[in-house]
Amino acid sequence: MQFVFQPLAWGFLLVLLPLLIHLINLVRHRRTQWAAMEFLLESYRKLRRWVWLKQALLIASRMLIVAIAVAMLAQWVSGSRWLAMISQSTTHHYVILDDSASMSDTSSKGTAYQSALGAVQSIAANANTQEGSHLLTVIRASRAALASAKSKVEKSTAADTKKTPTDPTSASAPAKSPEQQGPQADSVAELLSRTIPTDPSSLLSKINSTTQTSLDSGLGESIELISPLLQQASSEKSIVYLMSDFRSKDWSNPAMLKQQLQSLPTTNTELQLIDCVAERHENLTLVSVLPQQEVLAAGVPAMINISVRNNGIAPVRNVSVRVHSVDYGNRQIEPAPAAPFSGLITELPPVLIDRIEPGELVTRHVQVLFPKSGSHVVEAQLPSDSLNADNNARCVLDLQNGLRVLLIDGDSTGKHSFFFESALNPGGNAKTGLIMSREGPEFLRDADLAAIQNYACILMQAVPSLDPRALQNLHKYVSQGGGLGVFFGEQMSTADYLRYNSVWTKPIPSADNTIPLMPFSIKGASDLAQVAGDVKPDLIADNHPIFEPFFGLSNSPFQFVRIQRYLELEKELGDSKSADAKGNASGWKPVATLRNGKPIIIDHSIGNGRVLYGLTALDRQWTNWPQDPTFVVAALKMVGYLSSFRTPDAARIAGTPMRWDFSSQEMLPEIQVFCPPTVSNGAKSLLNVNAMPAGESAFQASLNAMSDQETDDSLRAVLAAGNFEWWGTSIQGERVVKNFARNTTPGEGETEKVQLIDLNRALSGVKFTYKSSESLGSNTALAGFANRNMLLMALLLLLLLFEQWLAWSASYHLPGRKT
Amino acid sequence: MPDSKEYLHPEAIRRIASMELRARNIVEGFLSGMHRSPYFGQSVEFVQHRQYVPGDDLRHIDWKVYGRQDKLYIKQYEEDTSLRCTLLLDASASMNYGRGSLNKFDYAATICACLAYLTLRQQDAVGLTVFDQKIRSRLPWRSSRSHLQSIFKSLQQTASKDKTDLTKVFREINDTYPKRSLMVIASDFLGSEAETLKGLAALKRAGHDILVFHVMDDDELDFPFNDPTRFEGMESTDALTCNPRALRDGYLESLQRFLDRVRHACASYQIDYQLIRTSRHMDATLTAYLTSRMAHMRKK
Repeated sequence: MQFVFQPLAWGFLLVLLPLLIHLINLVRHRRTQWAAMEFLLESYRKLRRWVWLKQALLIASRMLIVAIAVAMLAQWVSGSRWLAMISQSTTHHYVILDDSASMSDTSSKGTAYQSALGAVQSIAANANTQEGSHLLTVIRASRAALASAKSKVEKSTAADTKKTPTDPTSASAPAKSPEQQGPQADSVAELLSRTIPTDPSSLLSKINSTTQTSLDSGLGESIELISPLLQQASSEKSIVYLMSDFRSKDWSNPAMLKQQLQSLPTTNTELQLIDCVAERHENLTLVSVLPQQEVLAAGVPAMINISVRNNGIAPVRNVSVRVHSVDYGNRQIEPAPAAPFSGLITELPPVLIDRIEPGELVTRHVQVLFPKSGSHVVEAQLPSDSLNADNNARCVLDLQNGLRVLLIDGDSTGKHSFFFESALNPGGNAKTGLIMSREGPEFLRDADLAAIQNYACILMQAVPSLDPRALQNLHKYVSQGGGLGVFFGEQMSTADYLRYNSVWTKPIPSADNTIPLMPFSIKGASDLAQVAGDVKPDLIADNHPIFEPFFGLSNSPFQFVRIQRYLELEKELGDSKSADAKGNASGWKPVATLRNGKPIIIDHSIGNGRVLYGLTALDRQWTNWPQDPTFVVAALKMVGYLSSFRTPDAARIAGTPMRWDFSSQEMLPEIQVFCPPTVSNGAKSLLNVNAMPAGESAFQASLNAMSDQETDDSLRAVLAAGNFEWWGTSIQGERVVKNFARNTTPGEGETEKVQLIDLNRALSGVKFTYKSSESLGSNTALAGFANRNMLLMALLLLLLLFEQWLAWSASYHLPGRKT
Repeated sequence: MPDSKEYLHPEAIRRIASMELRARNIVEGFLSGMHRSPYFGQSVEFVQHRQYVPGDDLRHIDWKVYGRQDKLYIKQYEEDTSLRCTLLLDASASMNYGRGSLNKFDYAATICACLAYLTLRQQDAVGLTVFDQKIRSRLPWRSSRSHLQSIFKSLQQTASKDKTDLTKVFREINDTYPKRSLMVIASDFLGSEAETLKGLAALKRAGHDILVFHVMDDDELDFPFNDPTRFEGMESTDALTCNPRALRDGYLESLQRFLDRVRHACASYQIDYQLIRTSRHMDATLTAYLTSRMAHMRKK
């Protein structure tokens, strides 16, 4: 048995009081000499059973009256449907608040999130006018999603630790149960099973101080979180409120969500979908602000792609996108907490877009130039509309003075690298931002991985064979985000190709990533047959970043490119996506083909990096492409492409962990992080981060929303969208800044709402009611109509009357005085 | 001037220890309030005239004298002294019950004392028999004034005890008092009901005029007990612990049936029956006696 006021349940001991009084009365009887015993005994013999029965009933009724009175005072909670008719029932309101970025929609009064908070207040107010006790649990979707992600990480870490038999701590650590490993509601919920007081304002003050986040958290994790609570509390009535904006992207085909909702207990559980946004409205979304995959270096113009999507239902004309660059190259700058950026802000000419059709994504380029190295920012801004969360986006350009490119030449004279060197570093006034280095194949064997990783990309030509250690270094380099270009040589023999086939196509032993460096086998060199009258160029480029400048041209830029010989593969090559046993994704595809359809350039991904295979030799005997102007463009784009995968985070979605690795010999470990202003206070938050040692002479400073050390305030700051300025101090005392850009997920701008009929179809089999947040507050007047306390009082009154009648019937009342 | 009725109240009686004083106070107080003088009854031998005083029976006014002298005179006759009254007092243990001013025995003894005083005042003969399951003391009929002291002494020295056995007692009385007389029985009749009725019938068959004073305490008639009580029998070893309120109705019902049977039996035997509460005034008792005496005299 459960009671709202559990201590008052001790009052049930009073039930024994009538019995005790009866026994005491029997013991405390007086003695009297009696003459007319005959008549008394006759009466006793006649009424003995009836008197006993009435007395028993009387005591039982008095005990029952005391029990009911105590149960009323303690507010008995019964799970039984029938007992609930006379006992106080408990209604548990589970509120799941969607606090994703789309809840900042201001199409109605205030934001959608504020409407949701108003709906929570209505629930609390309604609860006070209804019978029984009411409990409130409020969970924000973002917190549940973070807890779920954190739990997954911990499980993964635990699994890895478990696989390491040499780790003594893992052997001694007790294994956690699955329940222990999963996120717990008490650590996530804003309010957990709190009794709703008469004045709920103090209870709701905490939740009212929250705002929507910049995340795209779904509701699934929250439902998973409350599911065990619902299972455990089967005795109480449960109402689950999903407060969201019900966008089509989330609710049109919510298979996972439907499965989770179906897993909720059906008895005593009611599901209410509370829509906090009235209707769809026009909305432009800044989908991305990203640098193109090209050479990014100080003093080299960088192209920034700005993509805008029209998520409304009507075409939009004359969209003006404000763009500004923030230059952090000046060594003298200091943190400016009051200003939007501490760097030098330069307003760039706005990007004008004539027309964007509904659903259309339009990308425009902006050229920016940062003369000095540093962590620079480019930010774009759309005009204000009902959903401002998706109107801003930015990216960070961590520019060095030059990008180091390693050329590995199979010939000691370096003759095969000539064309690349000429194209990438022409000299004179032409500044490409590249710093070229040429080494022999043995460099890859002798150098350690750290030395190799100093290079943005590696271009390898005419290397007949590589030492296994060199192969291992290359594989690691690529897996960790490096870029490798492989071109073959004109003097390579069939034996060399066979060596490639036998070594390069096999997984590297002891490597985490078992995807081989070369996903195909080379058959041998072949001549490209020349067909008279064929107007097709020898080289046909696919839609790939390295050929991006040639997109949209009416005529092929490769008209004058001739390819005489090429390497033929063992089998026909097509698009392929696969994964190794460890789940590492692999994909390879031809990005350029020959006239006969055979691939000539293949893009292969390994881990975070890429390998571009050029199936020809950069030699006049094989092709004249290195002498064609398109080669220079393609080579620069190729270096830009291959080096782009090791570029630090240019822009990520909000909530993505941030990490800064630096040398302990260059900087102090104390880091100040200025977070972007939040919606609630409008000011930048300052977080102090102490970098932790990470290996020899290295520090690692990180901010992670999934960290246990984050407080509520720091968590709110970390989850915001905007630019995070990390300020450190060099050994010499100079301030060093590094920026991290975190943007709102573009999908949050898709404002199309799901129709009720679609929702019914999508959630078929799930019983729910759908209402707006405004209608939730209108039920107050009708609440409390049936007050169960009145029923209990009536029952108690009836029992008292019955007791009095029984007492009278059992001659326990004195007869009226006769005059 | 105090009301004469006050002397008849049991509370007032209780304060008088002497049985003689009790009897005198009660009888004189009772008589002073009566309109009709009870002292002289009907007889054939004229004695004298006396001037009428208020309270005299109008039937005794000599209208011839009134016609001659225009004054009211009462004719007085020589009184019949042939009345023999036998007082039978129950002194069984059950008569000892009473929570009021007088217990049943005290009340019954006082009645007997009063009746003896009244009887001897009228120069009738009176006898007294005290009994329980047997006759404990017996005084023969006498009409002398000194006999009154013997009766008072006997009443004061008697204490109630033992059971009641009326059949045996009444058989002995029949043997003891062979002549017809006015038998006044003061008892609670709490014994064997059948034996009681059988004894009364035997007395009646012997030709006696019988006046029964059924003396009951208020508690016995009303059963006003509320709290849990252990009742212990006064003439038996029976005991009962109970909630009296629960048994009250059944008790009163049984008692009423008993009283009805006794009353009906008396009526059928032409026995005058008076149910006397120990809380009531004595006047009802004395009135009942005088009525019975007059009826007895008329029969003679």
